[in-house]
Amino acid sequence: MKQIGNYLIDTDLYYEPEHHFWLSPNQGFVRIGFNPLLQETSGAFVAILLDKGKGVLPQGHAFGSVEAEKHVAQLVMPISGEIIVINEQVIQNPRLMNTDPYGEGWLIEVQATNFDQEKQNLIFGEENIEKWVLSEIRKFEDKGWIARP
Amino acid sequence: MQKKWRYIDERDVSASYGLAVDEFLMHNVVREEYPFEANLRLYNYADYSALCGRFQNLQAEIDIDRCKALGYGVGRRLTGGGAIIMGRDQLGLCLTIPAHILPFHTTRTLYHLFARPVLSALKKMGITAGFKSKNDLEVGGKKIAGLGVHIDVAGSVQFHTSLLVDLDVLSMLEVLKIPIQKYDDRKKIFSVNQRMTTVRREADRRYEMAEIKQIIKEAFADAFDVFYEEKGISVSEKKQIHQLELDRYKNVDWLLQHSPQEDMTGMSLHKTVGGLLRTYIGLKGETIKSVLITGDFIGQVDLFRTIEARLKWAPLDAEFIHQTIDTAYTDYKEDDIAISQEDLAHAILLAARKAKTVLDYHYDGSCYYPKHKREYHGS
Repeated sequence: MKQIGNYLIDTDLYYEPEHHFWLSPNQGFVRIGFNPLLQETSGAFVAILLDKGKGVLPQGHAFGSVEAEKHVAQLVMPISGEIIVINEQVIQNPRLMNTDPYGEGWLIEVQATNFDQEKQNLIFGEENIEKWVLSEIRKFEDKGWIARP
Repeated sequence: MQKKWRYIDERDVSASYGLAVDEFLMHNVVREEYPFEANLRLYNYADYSALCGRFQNLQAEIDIDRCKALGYGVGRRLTGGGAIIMGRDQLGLCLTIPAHILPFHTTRTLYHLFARPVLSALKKMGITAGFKSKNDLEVGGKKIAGLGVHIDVAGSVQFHTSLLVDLDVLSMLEVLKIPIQKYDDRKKIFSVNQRMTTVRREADRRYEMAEIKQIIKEAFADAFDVFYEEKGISVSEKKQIHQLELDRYKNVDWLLQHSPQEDMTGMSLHKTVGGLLRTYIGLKGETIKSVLITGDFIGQVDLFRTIEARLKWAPLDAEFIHQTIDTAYTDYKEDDIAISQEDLAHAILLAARKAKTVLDYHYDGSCYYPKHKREYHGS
């Protein structure tokens, strides 16, 4: 974990920049969750529906939807694969995505089908992650969405 | 160069049609051959349609049997939030726009981007409105419009506003299962009027619906620097919309879908030196959906409405609740408040405890708030 701005960021993981997922690969399986920056602009998560048993889903395919403060967004697969496990704890208590995004707030585990190629579009490595997180923070600050320190 | 938006004006639509058109337009707006950059649809439902939010349990929020008896439509929106009633005096506004043309899109900021023209339209009618906690628009602490956003996987955004031009409180309470059902009509109207207001009540003069639509339409054109082509829903589009109604909005699986997060409600009675405090709470898992603080003795209405608004969609966390109450009392800058902070926090937490532990209070058919008397006396 590394403190970047006001955020504790796990720099050993992969990051999908558009939807702010983190990805943790392990022997063909990838655990996926939301990164801590997301809650700055989403607010409290109140409901989530996750699809399971739909076979292999391509990257970019919807795998559920989530509500935070009356905003509903479809969740989009950051990589291709089959959802093997969904986190029942987060289903029962979506606020875990806010309070423990790297721990109990993870979303799904996927058996990846094309991770080696698709990881090229993800952000990886401490230096790259730090650069990206700082640029996101700056963007949020410039827009006035998070307070400047 | 100014971009061209499609403007659609519809009246007296049914629940399933009204919702299906919004979704249809959202899908269409990202098609390459679609000739418009965005769609602005201003419409009203026929009296009445009761609509629940995307993740709500419809049967828990809306009295379906009563709707059938009264001929009201029912529906489930794509956007989040709570149950509402829509009819001739409630204006529906739906903007559908591709996400990629927006300057940036995050959940909180989209509301501000899209609500800006709504606020400016209200201003033109002499109404100074602002954001109420968690994405409603308010005037003097009272809700005047509800907002919702849905982001589609195909890259389009649907922004929805329900603007209260006028409101028949008793018609609303006929079918929405909210905690003041047990009150008599006078008290019901008083309680709702403390929390909600309308364009008709706040504007500098009477505005007819057509005029309001025109003002809003112009406000969006100014805010986004666009011009309109007015183009209604074509016959071929209606066929596709009809199919969408059948597949989704009239489909029982969609309508009666249950969210995995448990909905719970509870009520507490707590005696204080200032009088008897009756507090209702609605929970969704570990999140507070709503709090209602009532008691005939309560004088500082604004203070309690502020606390209700700040606790909406907040975590069910004792420390957070205490902090919220303390901050609101400090902001209020009055010493002579009949209810202490501790008493109020206690009442809210008691209601929450009841919601989580008394299974009779869970949604079950038509029993959103149980009619039988099982009240918890906190002290």
